[in-house]
Amino acid sequence: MSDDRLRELYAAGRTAGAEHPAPEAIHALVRREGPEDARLATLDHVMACEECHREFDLLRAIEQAETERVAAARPGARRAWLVPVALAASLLLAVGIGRSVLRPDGEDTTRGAADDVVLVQPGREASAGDALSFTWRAVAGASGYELEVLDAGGGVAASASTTDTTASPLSAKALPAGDYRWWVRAATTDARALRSALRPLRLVAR
Amino acid sequence: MTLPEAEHHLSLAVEAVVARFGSMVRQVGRRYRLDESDVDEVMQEVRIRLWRAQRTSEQIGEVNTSYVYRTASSAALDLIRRRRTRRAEHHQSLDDENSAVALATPAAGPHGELESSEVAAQVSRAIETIPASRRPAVRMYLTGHPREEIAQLMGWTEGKTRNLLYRGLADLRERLTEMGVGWERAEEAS
Repeated sequence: MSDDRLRELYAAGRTAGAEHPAPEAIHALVRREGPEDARLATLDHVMACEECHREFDLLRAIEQAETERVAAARPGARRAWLVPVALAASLLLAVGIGRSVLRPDGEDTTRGAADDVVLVQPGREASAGDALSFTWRAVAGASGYELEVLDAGGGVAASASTTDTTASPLSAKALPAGDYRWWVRAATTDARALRSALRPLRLVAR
Repeated sequence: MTLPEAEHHLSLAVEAVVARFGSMVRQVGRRYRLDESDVDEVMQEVRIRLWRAQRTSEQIGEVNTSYVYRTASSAALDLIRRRRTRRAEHHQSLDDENSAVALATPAAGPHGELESSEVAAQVSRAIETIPASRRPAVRMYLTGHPREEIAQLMGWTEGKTRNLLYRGLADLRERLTEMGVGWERAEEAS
């Protein structure tokens, strides 16, 4: 019997007697998350079950597409397909649409000297001890962002590096009440360094 | 530029991102022989979710590539859950009828087919006896996944993958031989 014949027989005899793994388990398998034993057990079922194999293929294709996109977007690779959304978002901002341009509490969005990075939240005041979530607008061509929260003396009290447009540094939660400032710097694929203006942040004791 | 014009531009941009990501998923999916209708269904769901997200300005800035990817993953998981629920309901419905719904039985085919199905059952039983650490690699191999894919999926080195697969196939060969099923070749895995 050849390998090909064995594969035919295997395909013909595929049955999945056991209970199907949860979709999240298949997702964890394609993302290589979790203990190997658990992933092996999921894989064992998936390769024996046509229905789960189809689900596996779908999740894996999405994961692989993202992996290949990220690889292509590394410095030196073009990120042309990001541009349309960034441009459109900029246009939208330019015509002043959206609640975030004028926050519901009347807080103006802070912009950098050249509108490089637009800070969104938090506003000028927050409670000390709360988990602080810092958010800003995406910058076209940005490969990553660095957030810094500075204390009154200009020292870095909390910081984070991310490829996302939001960050919640754990150290920020431990900051005592007082006056701070925060800002975001964007690193771009063409080596430009863009930054926001400094936004004041007062942490008030609860 | 007016508000409707700006919104129209954003819509086009979102569509461009979704189309681009969908195209990448399809491209990868073709390599995996993925049913394109699955990708179509997921990407349509992504579109709907992004249109909804557009309505809240906070999320506009998040309509970037990683956001589309996360949305696609979430939509795919939801799709899988929905399908499973439908299947379960369908099975339940058949059970409820409790009638003369005859379960399909294999038609009595030519002798060759019957023999094949018996051998296929033997192959299935033999695979079940392979140690759990090696069995998934063997199943992947027999399902047509190359060794490199096994290594990539499990995060194994090429050497570890080859070792597990080789030993697993040797186990399988031994069991099949014991069952009287001859199988001599496993050169692709070694």
